[in-house]
Amino acid sequence: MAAINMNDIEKQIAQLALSVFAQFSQVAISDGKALATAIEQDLLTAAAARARGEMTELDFEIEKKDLLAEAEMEKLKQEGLAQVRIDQFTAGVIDIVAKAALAAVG
Amino acid sequence: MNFTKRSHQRPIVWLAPFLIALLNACSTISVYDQFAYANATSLKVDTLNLISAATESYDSHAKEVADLTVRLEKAYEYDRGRALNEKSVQLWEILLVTKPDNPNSGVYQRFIAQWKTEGRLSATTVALKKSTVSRDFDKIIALESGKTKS
Repeated sequence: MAAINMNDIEKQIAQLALSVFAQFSQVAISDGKALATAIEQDLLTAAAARARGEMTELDFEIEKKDLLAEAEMEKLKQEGLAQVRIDQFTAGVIDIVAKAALAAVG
Repeated sequence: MNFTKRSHQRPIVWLAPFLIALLNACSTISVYDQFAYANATSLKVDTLNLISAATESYDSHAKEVADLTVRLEKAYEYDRGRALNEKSVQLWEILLVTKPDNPNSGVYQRFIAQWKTEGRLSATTVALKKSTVSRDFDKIIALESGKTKS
């Protein structure tokens, strides 16, 4: 049986972590910015419509609730996508270790 | 660390099934489901179409509201029945279920109640509602499409 190269395994796991989590954090930051922009835009539109009398006070309050709900949904979506990444990382680590072990057995 | 060949290490090939089992046991969220994805994308289009109609009288669209509500509930129930699917279920709940402990939940129900109470909604209100509900559905769709394809 050949030796298992632990340095190689560590290197592969580090690369895996970088590819799985770095990309995720960039997308999450981008999503957060897009959400903030969209909510700000909708709030400004709603406030202007309210000021012009095109929207009732009740409709304005409902709009605010809807935007708060959207922020909660964004948080849930990001939590779910983080879980996906954790699962992918776990699977990747198991794959790397299993391949190294099976290769060593020959 | 080096492993040299020893007699007790040969059965390592039998490790594979255990690794696969370990992999399954380590999952924290469901895998991608094509039916759930199709449900969400289809319902997004139908819901936005219904919201567009809210500048007209509620009574003239009451049947469409009832039909769409049933379809939304079916999609929610489908996702509720999937294992490890809590986040998608929670997303649906914010959209569809008015929870006493969360005054912001029940976006769709709130819209229907608003339309029913006011009879018809202003074009601005409808445009804003479409904007937020569209993004709400996008989050459900993005989570489903982001899940691992098995």
